[in-house]
Amino acid sequence: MADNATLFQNIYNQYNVLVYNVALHYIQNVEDAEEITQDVFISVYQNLDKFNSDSSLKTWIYRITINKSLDFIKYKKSAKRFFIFGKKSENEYEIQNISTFEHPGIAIENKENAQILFQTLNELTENQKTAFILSKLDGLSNPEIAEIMNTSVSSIESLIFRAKTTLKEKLSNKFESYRKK
Amino acid sequence: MEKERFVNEILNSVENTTKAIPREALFQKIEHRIQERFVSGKTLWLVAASIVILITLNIFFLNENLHSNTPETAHLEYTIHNNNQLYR
Repeated sequence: MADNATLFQNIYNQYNVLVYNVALHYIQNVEDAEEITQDVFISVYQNLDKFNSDSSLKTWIYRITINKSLDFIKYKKSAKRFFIFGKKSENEYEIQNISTFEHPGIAIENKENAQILFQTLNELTENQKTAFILSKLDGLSNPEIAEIMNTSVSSIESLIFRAKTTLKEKLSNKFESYRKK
Repeated sequence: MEKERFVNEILNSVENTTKAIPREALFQKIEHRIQERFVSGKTLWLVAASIVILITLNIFFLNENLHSNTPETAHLEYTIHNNNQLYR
């Protein structure tokens, strides 16, 4: 029991920053990212004995974090749909909350541009968003991303390429409105 | 040209980002939630076990009573009947 607790603490110390940052990139809200981090580590604690050592612990934790984050986004979207005829203020708060997200680790001079990027990132498909986040924000290599997403390296290359193309298109469309500001 | 610069600036805005650090109290929160779940699971089993023991005991005593009740009641009826004869 004590060994389990020590092992869990070591895992937490090693991966808490990783989990928190991945969640933050997906959810774009500090409080919600902390909530996801809690959920991920509770899940790790509960399933540690079921962990399949075929994949690395890091890959396993990445997968749990991505799944929890995507589930959270789906839950938020369905809650939004549910409240669409209800409390209007809650919807507005959520939208504002996401659009004004400021990543705590981004340099001040890049904050405004990063905000636009995070907004546009939410318009990508789930897989494109995941591949882009892991590659561009987490700095993982394509084989590492392929292992996490359980697909081939060529698929990852294609996903990242499509993500960048879509982002460029969407940002070009936004250019006029931002120039007017 | 200007548009291209705008797009590139935005795409490159997340380069050299430092990692965000979660609050120190987060681990305590996680530990607390784990303990809560663990305790509630244990309590649930205790409650379930208590209910099973209670039902078993009830069935046991009910059975005991059903089997041993008849002669006792007969004896009681007889004595009451006898005692009720106030006038001979």
